[in-house]
Amino acid sequence: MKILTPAGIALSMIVMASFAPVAAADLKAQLPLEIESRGELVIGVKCDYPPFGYVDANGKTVGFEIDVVREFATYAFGSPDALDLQCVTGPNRVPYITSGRVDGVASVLSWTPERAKIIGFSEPYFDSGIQMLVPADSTIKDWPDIKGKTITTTNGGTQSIWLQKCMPDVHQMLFDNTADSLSALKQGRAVAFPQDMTLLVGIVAKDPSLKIVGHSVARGPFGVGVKLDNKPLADWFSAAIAEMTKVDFFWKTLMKWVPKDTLEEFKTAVPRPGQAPISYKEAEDIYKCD
Amino acid sequence: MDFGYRLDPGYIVEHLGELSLGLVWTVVLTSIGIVGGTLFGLIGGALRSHRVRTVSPLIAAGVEFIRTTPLFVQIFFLYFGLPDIGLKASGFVVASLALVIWGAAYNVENFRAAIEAVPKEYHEAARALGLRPISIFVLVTLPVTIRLAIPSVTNTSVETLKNSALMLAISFPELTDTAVNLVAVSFRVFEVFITVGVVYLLLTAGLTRAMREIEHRIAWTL
Amino acid sequence: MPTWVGPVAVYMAQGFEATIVLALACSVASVVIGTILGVAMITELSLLRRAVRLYIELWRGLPLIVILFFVFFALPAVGLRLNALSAAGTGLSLWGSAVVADNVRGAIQSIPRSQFEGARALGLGWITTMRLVILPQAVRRLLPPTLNLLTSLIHGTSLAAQLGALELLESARRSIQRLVLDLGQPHSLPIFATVMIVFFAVCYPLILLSRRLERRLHV
Repeated sequence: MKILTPAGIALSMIVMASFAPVAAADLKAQLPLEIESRGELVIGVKCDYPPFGYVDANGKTVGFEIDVVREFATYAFGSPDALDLQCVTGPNRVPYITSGRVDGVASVLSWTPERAKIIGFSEPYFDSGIQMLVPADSTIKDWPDIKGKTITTTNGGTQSIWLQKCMPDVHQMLFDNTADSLSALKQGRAVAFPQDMTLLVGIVAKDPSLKIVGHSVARGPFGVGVKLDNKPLADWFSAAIAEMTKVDFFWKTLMKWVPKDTLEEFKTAVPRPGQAPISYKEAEDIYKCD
Repeated sequence: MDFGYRLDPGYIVEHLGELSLGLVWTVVLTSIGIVGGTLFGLIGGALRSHRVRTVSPLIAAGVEFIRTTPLFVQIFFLYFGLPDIGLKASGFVVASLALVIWGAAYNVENFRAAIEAVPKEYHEAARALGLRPISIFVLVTLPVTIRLAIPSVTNTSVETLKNSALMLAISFPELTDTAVNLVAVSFRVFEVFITVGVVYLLLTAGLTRAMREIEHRIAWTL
Repeated sequence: MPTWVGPVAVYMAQGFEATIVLALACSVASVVIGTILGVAMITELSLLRRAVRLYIELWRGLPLIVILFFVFFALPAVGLRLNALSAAGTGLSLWGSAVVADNVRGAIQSIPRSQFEGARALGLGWITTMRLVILPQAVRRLLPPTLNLLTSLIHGTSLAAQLGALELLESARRSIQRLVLDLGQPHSLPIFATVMIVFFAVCYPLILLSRRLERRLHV
């Protein structure tokens, strides 16, 4: 019996594929040799930013981005644990990339034209905009209402830059983590907390004394950040993201991290099969004031 | 040398305004810390060395606690912790208070040691002349004390200057906080930190020189 | 005991371990390097003396946190990529060694000239003089300031939190952050108070010892 017929070859490939390790998804890109030989990915993630990345009660780093990054590790080395997670903050995530401390960061890093000059980005995996968190009894309804007041947020974020450009008279009280900002808001040290609406949604779900106001501004899709001259790695991440989109990985994962009743708002926030892909185009004038 | 990005000293020039504002705040905060810390340290040191009942052990306990715990933690406690029991103060008040308390605690020891180092003969001579205790302290002990304490007080003052940098923890806009915020948006760690480092070196050198000048001036008048 | 206390205590114990290890490591490094530099300062070689003097002025003139930031973010440019804890240890050791160097120089210079001359009269070489005559006497004078330095280094480890290193303060901050985001109630007061009490428990004996030694030296 000739196995070498087309059917035979197809059959044997199917048999082999079913025994192959979960790894080595047939990505059209090649993982850079340096990482390949190391056997694990070193990725910077947020540890204070639910639901993207935070530390749970058992001291483990978990979140939407952590799940995404574990999937990257599975694609690269066949195991979700072939991973070294480093906690990064707004201010240090780009220096972590440029100094080579991590292969890349998946830490709510928005694409901006300025950042694209210093680091490389993969294709986007999340789209979000900035809104404001205020006390439930606040009279603030939209951005013009915070004119001349003090707000609090994390430093290095797109909201900080947008405010500096569009509302320079607003005083910014900046911290390097979200919880300090949240504490400052609740202690009345600031009147509002502008931040990624995904983060705010998670906070409001647990804390009825706060509400979200303001229309969405500074829409900037998140991508995996890598060293500027490491295009092969950026392409690898993009290829992985494309594969994960095909199996609707992002939507299924997001469902675990976002309150059920707000799920609708996030339909277009992640790449999904059959939807137009998220593009960085809209972020080119991310800082336009409206 | 691989900086990982292209250096641009022009960045510092562009942001000279913000950095200067940060520098002003550093100077203001440091001045409050040095003046308050030295003043209260002197009062506390005098009370301690004279074993003034009730107050003395309280001061001793307070000094002990401040000196054994890190200032960095004290700042977080004052800013984020106290509001839990309703004591909320602005960043400026917390920063100033933390520096003054810290400086005072260390200066209490500096001045106590200096007071106790004043030769006994001075006291005996003053008493022989019939001076009242208060007069003895003000006219005899104090001048000598100040001169003896200047080296350690200088040290504490320079430490206060360096401690002002810790206020970035509560987002107080002094020089280091400004630097970190600039790095956060521009990622230019080298330009910013080297500039800020040089500024601090100049500040500490200047402060030390100034205190030494004061020491020489006082030496002549005493 | 409220339910939030357990996991927080465990996490903070982890941080405390790192604090102790870091404090010990940079203490040893500071003393070893600082002693060598301090002795170098009393040699006849003026170039060496000036170089060490510059080293001391540099690390003592900068705020410790700026040193830590610089070691963490700038050293990768010359190929030295340290993790947060190691960078903190390096920065603390640079500062600590500068303080020890100055203390050692001061202690040696406070030993009467007669000791040096006597040793020379006996025909002892420079190194032997240092080893058998000068340094043993210097050590006694160095104990109080060195204990003070140890205390300062222990305090300094808390700055590593700003680099993201998981020591005691950072474990406290992260716990509070998690509680704020999870429960809406941070419990900051008891947690920060605990951190201060732990530092007090560790440093108070050192300060007491330093004070007792100081008194014994003056008698």
